Amino acid sequence: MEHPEAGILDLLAQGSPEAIEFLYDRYGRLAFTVALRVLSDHSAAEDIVQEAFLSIWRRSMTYRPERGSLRNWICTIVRNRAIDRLRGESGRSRYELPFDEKPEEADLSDTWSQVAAELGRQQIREALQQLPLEQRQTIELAYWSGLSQREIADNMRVPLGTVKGRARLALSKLRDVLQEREESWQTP
Amino acid sequence: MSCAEAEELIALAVLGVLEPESSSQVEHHLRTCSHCRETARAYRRATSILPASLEPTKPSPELRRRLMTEVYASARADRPHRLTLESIWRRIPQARAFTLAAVATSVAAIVLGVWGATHTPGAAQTFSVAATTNQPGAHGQLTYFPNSARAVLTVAGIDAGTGANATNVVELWLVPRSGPPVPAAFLTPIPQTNTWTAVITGDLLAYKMVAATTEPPGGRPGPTGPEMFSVALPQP
Repeated sequence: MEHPEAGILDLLAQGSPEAIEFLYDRYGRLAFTVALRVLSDHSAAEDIVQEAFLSIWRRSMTYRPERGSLRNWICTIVRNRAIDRLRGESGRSRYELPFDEKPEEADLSDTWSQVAAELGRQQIREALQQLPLEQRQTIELAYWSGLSQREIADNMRVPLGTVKGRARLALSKLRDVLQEREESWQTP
Repeated sequence: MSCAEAEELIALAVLGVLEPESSSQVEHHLRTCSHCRETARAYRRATSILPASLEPTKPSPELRRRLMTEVYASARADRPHRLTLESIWRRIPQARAFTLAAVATSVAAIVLGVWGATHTPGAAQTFSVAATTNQPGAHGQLTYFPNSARAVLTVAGIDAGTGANATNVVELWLVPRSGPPVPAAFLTPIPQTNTWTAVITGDLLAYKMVAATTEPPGGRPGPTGPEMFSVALPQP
């Protein structure tokens, strides 16, 4: 199945400035929202978005559609750069989970894209609101604050094991909510 | 490592907070456990929706201008190494370059399947560049593809500034039938020719004109420099 954004990927691979213009018009607002959430500073967030899109333009060959949508790739780059900025140049090294690149992953991603597109902001917030407060706070601190797991435990005044357990429970519940959506898409 | 322990580490990993020291343990487990590989995929997807929960905030228009100025400047610097078409272009005498640009636009129209459809909705439409007293030598054409709401502008015979003004940009504006001009794109020179080009996105037929001005680096929210040329668009 051809990737839904294959055309823009081809343009990116050719180094076309118009491709990055297109991507910025499509995802620039989301990217800025992500950077602002991490940094809480408009000027710094704009700097990060500019750096991120330039990086995307120069590293477009490293994008692999089987790893997820362009949207998620852009969000990840912006968030990582914003957290690096937050933590300073000496920020801790980041570990990224290796991908299991099963051939069917691309098809799953396509269905997933539909699910993600169908879910509006309000529905995503409702899904998050369904989580117990301490679980929601744990994943939000982990995802947005740039704190390490030890720092999150200190911040929440709980043992490290509790942070691990809450993160797993929260993502497990979110997974269940989203899988229900995905199944509803696959059922005619 | 049990699956329950691995799932905790996977959750931390997809959230970006797993300490690198624990990475080899979880990677080893993932190599041998298809159940946890599936969990990792599901957790990664669950995490990916978090940005969409945020209230969207618009960046300033300046950010787009800054970014695109740097991208186009970088493209000019890199292009000799990236595009083999350009090396072909360089071998063409400058006097013929503009003619060939027009031919290339026509070829693009054929590729897009709009050639010959001049009397049907969605057909490509071509409009001429009108010079001004500031740039009396400006000439060229704008080809608009309604189906994709994109236009290709090719122009020659302009002087965008030298010396202290060499860092200025040529900014294009869509001029509505009423209201102030809207920033549309930056004109990019084709190296070693006197030809410039740009792609403009939008429903051009909703505007009365495309105009170009020279602006300081990064462009401006509204035109401040002298008008270089314009392209009149058809009115209803």
